[in-house]
Amino acid sequence: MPGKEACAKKRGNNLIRTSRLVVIVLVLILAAVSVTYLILWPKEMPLHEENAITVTDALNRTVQIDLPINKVIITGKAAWPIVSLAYMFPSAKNRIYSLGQMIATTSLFRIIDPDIDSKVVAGLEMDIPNIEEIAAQNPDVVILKSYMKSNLGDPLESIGIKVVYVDLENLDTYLRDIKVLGKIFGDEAKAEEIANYYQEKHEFISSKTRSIENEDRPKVLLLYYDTKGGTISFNVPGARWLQTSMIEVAGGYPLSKELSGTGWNTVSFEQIARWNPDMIFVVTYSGDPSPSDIKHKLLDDPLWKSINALAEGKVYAFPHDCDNLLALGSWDSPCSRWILGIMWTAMKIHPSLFSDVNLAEEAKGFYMKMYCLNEDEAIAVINEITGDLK
Amino acid sequence: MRYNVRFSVLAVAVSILFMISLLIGRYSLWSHDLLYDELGKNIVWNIRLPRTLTAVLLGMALSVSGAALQSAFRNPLVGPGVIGVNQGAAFGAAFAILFLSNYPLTIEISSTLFGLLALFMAYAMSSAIKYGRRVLRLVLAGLAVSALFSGGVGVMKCLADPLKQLPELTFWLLGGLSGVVWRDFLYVLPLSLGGIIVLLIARWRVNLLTLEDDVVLSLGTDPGKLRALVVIAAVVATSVVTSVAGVIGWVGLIVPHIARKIFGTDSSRVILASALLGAALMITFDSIARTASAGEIPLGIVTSLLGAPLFIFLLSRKEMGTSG
Repeated sequence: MPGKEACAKKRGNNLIRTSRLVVIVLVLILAAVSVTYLILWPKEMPLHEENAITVTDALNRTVQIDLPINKVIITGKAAWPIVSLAYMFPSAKNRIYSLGQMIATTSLFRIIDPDIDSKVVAGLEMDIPNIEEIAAQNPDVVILKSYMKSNLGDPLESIGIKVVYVDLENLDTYLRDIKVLGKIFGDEAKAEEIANYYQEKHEFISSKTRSIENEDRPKVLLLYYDTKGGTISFNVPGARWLQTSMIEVAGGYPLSKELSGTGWNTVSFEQIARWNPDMIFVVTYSGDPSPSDIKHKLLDDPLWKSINALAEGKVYAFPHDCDNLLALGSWDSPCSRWILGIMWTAMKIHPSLFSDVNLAEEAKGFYMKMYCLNEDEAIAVINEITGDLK
Repeated sequence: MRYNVRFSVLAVAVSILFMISLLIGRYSLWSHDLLYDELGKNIVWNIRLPRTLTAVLLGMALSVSGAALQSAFRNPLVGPGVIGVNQGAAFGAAFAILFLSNYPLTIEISSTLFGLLALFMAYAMSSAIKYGRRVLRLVLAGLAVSALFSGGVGVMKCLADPLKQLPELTFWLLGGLSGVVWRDFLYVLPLSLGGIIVLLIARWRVNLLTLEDDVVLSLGTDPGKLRALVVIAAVVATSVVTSVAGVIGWVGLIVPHIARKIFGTDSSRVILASALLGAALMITFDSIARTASAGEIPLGIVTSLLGAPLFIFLLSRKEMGTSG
């Protein structure tokens, strides 16, 4: 019995000692935090309403940004459509302060902004870049895709950095977000011009294809032939992706409409054989092989010969205007040139309806008007285009 | 070395690591005058402090829960992941992002409820299994529940809106503390700290669970009730931190073993030591995740890459005997 009592006493002592230790540590931490808080709590920065602009962004938030806006950072997952649109504003060359490595390696954007190399900051091309890395540059505003809110936008705002969200996923969000960028880059007239261009070209195509009955629409497959990781996979966009609606507007029947899944859906050859598409548009974003290489590979493959599109030779490589062949150059991606991509798609599906359109001229006009390139520069870009432009 | 000294060393180490973590980052505090650098202060107070505090909670919750569950199930290979709780919580978070709201509190509640549901499912299934002993049955049922919920997470990814929800869900599944702000910390604080405190208070009694149930009963404690209390506290703490940090499965399994190596097999010491060790490790890992490169390194990668060699190193050292 005495042994048991001693044991209980010892345990009690241990309990008291450990609890004391825990309390002391907690009190120390609390004291340290409170002292530092009193000394170093950041002061509220004053707002000067008269020297600020107000934008309503894609998440319907009203954001007030102090003028002048000289340091714009565009980063986070899928930042390239934002960059591709931002560079349409002549002031972007001076106001875009930093961006990721990937965009700076593309020939098109090197022509548009010869100083682009000096704007590259390591890490900004990551899906979730480091918050402090962005803060260290003290930006006036950071532009992000709307789904970056909880992972990047909220922490940035918690340290007082202004964040504006955009979507840029289809015509409607383009028209809305162009206006927001117009305010940030201080050029609402240019925003109007860009929005009108997209609206007019979209309307031009859809006015000719709108009345085409379903039975007259060829079955079109947009095939993302992926060779990453040494394995080949066939990927098809989901029903709600830009590519699906592009084919529909261009007067085709997008087979991807039948997919309930979202994002890129991996499908088997059997599914493609079952669909038996009348036309196949090939895209690939991994550089090598190019969409044209893949097109020839499919044409030479005996397995694919029985597919309608191949039997009739209606396989086309999607145009791409950046030499590194990443997604931001492909005309099917939500980067700025998807509007040229719709024209190209429509001309391939219904050549007779668009026989009066010269796509190379359209593209030249696009680069000159939208990106303010001179004729030689625009021609240089067009000469770089890979895929079946003609 | 006496245990109290070891505990003190560990507690001091946690405090020092905590302070260091506040002082390091991609933004250099030393190139500015800290007293006048508003941005620097902002970064320390609104980015580093909530994030480091959340790392402390995360490390503590996972490690303490792991240690308690290992004792409660008398199985050193049990962690929250093994009885399906991690995947249940992950499913709960995915479910919330898709169908409820991506508001942190909603994700947290949904995670916790599904974590508990996973636990109850594992329990219910284990009694239906006609094979093996009780603990084995529970582990087998847990594996089945885990598989079920991870399949469910896969289905959620297919159902997610690719333009809005899918990227968010993917980020969440990747795990990490990069998006943590004060609001997130304050939301997870009550339940996770509550779970940790319950386990810390109950840690002397957890020893009883390592005995056979009839022996525990003869000592005047209802083993069923005690086990239920321990397990529910562990599941709540784990699910809540999972809702903010994603699935970090490895820590809860390993830290208790490191604690046993240093502090012996007494559960009361192992649980307290796991809390401190878990906090120290998670502060270190998260600091590396946000400091080492210009982009954020996913926390799961850092914990596996650095934790595995550290674990083997600590366990292979001779001098850390279990005597005190």
